[in-house]
Amino acid sequence: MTGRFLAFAVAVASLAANASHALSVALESLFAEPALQRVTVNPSGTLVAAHAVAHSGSHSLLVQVVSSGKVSSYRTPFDIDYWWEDDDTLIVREGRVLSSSYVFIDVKITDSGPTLEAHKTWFGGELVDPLPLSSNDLLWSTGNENYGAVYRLSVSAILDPKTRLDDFRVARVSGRVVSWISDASAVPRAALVQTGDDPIAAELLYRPDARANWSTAGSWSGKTIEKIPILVGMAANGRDLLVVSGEGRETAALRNYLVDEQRLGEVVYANPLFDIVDVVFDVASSQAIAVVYEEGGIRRYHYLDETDAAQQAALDRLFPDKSAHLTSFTRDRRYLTALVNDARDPGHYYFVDRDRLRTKDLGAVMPWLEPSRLAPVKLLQVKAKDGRAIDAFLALPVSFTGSRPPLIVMPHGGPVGVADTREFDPVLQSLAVDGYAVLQVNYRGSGGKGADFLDAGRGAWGGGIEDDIEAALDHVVAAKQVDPERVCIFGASYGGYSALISITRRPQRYRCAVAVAAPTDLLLSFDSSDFAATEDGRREFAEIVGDPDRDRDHLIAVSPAYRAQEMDVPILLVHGDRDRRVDLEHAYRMRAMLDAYHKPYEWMLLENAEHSPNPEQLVRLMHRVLEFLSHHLSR
Amino acid sequence: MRPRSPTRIPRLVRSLAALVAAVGAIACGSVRAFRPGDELLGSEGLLVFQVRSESQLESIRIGGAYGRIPLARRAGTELHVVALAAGSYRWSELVLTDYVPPYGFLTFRFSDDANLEFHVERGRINYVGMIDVYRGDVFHVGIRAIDRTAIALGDLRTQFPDLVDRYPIVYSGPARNVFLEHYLAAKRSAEAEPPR
Repeated sequence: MTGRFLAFAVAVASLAANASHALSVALESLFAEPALQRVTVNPSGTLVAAHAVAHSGSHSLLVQVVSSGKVSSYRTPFDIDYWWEDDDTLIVREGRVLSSSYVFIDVKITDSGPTLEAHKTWFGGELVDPLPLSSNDLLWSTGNENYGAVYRLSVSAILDPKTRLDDFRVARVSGRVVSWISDASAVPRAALVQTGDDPIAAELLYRPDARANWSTAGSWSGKTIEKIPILVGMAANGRDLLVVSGEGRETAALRNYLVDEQRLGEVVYANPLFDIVDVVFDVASSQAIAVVYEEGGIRRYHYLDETDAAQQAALDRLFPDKSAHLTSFTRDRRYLTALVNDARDPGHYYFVDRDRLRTKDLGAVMPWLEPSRLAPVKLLQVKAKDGRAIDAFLALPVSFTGSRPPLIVMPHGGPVGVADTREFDPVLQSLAVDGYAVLQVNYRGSGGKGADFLDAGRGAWGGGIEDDIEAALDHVVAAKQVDPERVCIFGASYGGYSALISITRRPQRYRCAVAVAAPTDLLLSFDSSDFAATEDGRREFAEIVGDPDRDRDHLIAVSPAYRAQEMDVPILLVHGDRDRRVDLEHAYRMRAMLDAYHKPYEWMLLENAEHSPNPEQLVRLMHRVLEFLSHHLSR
Repeated sequence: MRPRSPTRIPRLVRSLAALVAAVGAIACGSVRAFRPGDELLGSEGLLVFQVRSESQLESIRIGGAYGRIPLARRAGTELHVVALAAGSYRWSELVLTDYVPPYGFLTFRFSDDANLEFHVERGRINYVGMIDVYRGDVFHVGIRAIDRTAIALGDLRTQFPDLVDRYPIVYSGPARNVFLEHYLAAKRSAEAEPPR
C-alpha cells in the first residue's frame, strides 16, 4: 500500500446513503469518527505513524515509510495513545490511564514495506517518558494510594516477565502521585502528590539530584484544583521547575517555580490577554520551546526562540487562511508533522521538510467531507453592555432560503471555564448545511481570557451572561447579515439553560428554543447531580451559580422551570435518561411546569444517553432538532 | 448546609438471610404495603420513593420502623408506595442479592447521614426522593437520595391513578425542594384561568 494513509478508508457514498434528512451533507458524515486521529514522525524522520479508523469502525496504528510511502497496520482497540520509544519502536497504550495495557511494536523497514511485530508487557503500571533519544530505555511507573515509584529500564527488560522491577527503581515516594517530572538526564526530580480529595490538596516533592532525599517543595490546599500550579517540566536552569499558573496575575502564565524558596519565580512567558493552555517541548533538550493560547477561537503559538518562531511563520505561509499545528518533529527539527485545519475542515496531516519548505499530504482527518460545502466561521468583536470585549463567531451558510438566512443562537455549555473555538464543529456545521446562520458567543466566564473575565461569569446565570449573548445577537442583526424575524436559540447543558431563560428575557426576539440536558431548577442541582456528591463539588458549584442558602430566592428567580408562565414560544426539550450531571428530573420539572401553564413544547428522551450524547445519539438528536427548526423557522 | 457526602459502608455483614440482620433502632411504626384503592389508617402517612440500582436488590429497611420493604430483584428504577406511622426516619439497611457470589444475600448498613433522613406526615403523601444505589469496589455500596419529584408525580399518576387527588402531597426528604410548591400553585392558577 502506498501514498496517503487513507486512500482505502473512505466510503462517502454509503455514509450519505444513510442520511434520512434531506441535507446537502449527510448528518452521519459530520458526526462520523475521524479517520485519522493522531500523526507523528519518529526521531530520525524515516517513519510516520498514525491512529486510523477504517470505514468498518476498526481502529489501527498505521506505520508508513517516508521514503517509499509504503504502509503497514497493527489492529488496536478504539481507545489508544502511542509514542515513539526510539526510531523503530512504538509504545501503544490500549485503554485509559490506570486501566490500560501496553504493547511494544518493533518496526523494520523492508523492500515490501514496514513489518510490525507486537509484544505485550505483563507489567502493570504507566509510561512516564518514552525517552525517545535514549538507547532503548524508558521510564515506567507504578503506584497506588500509598506510594509512587519510577523505574528506568530497557524495552527488552519490560517485555521479560522474569524482570524484577525493583532492580530498576530510580525513584520512590509516599502518597498518591499525580505526575512525575524528570530532567534532561531522565532522572525523576519532582512528584506532585495528591494529599486530599475534598477539598483538593497536593504536595510537591523535589530532589536536586538522583542521590538526594525527597523533600517538600510546596503544598496547596486550595478550594479548587485550579489553585494548584500545573507542573509541566524542568526550568532552563536545570534546578527549578516550570509551571503554568495564574496566581497573582490576570492571565495564566508559564513561570519558573523556585524550589528552594517554595514560591513562584519569574515569568517565562505571559500573554496579557490570554491564558496559556499548553506547552510544547523539544524532544532533544526536554526544554519548553513554545506556549499555546487561544485567540479569537484559534490556537496560537508563541515560540520562545526566534528560529522556532520563524519555522512556525514559514508553516503559516505554506497554509495561508488555515491554522497549522505541529504534532511532532524530529530530533534535528528538520522534519515535522502538522495538522492544518479551520472551521470548515477538520484538517489534513502533512509531512513537512522545514529546510526545503516541501510538504507531503499524509491524509485528511475526515476525507469524506468537502470543506467547500461547509460554512466558514468569522470572528466578531462585540462590546457588551458594560463595555467588556466579547468574542462571537458567526457561521454563514453556503445556501439558504430567503434574502438573508435564519439564525440559530448557540450558547456553549459550562458556563465558567469553557469556550467555543473556530475549529470544525459538527453541531454547528449540521445547522449551517441546512441553511442556518449560527451565532456562538464566548460570553463572560468563558475560559482562556484571564481571571477577571472568568470571574465575571460567576453568579451571572440569567444575567450578565445573557446580556453578552444578546449584545452579540443585536450586533449581528444590526449588520443585516441574518433574517431578524427568523431567530431560534439552541444549546446544551448551560447552553440549554440559556436558551430557556433567554426566551423569557426577549420573548419577541426568538421564534423557538431547543434545550438539551438543561438545568431548569438551580436549587435541584445542589442535591441531584454527580458533582453535588462531594462538599468540594457543591462549594465549587456555589461559586459558579450562587449560594443555595444565601441566594435561594435569586436562584429560584433565574430557574427556567419557575419562569414557565413567561414562555410563549415553542420549545423542544431533550434529555438523556442516564444524565448524572444534570439529572433527568430537570427536564421533567420543566415539562410539568409547561404542562401546568398549558405552554407549547415538544419532548425527546434520549435513551441510554449521558450528559454528553455519543455520536449516534447526536445524529438522532440533530435530525429531530432540524425538523423542529424547519417547522418553526420556515417563512 | 447539610453534609451530603455519599454514604459508604466499610463494614460488610455477610448473611445468608437478610432477616437475621438487626435493625438496631428504636421502632415506632410498621411498614405496610399499600395498593391502589387502599386507605390510610388513623396515624399513618404514605411514604413514596423510587429506588434506582444496577444491582439486584432484595430489600431496604427503615431505621425506626418494623419490617423491611421488598424490592424488585432486577436492575432499574421502580416506584414504591408504603404506609407508615407518622414520624422521623432514616434509611438504614440494604440487602443485595447479586453482589458477590457465592455469599447469597449481602446486607449493607448505613451510618448517620442527613441525606438519608426523612419524615412522614399523617394523612399525606410524603415523597422523599429516589434512593440511588451505586457500587464502589467489591465490598462497598453507596446510596444517596436524589430529588425526583416531577418524575415521581408522573409515575404515581400512572400506577396509582387517583392517589394524588385523594391525599395531599408534600416533599419530606432531605433536598431543598421548591418544585412541589411552585407546581401545585401553577396548577391551581391554571385551573382558575382555563387555557386560551
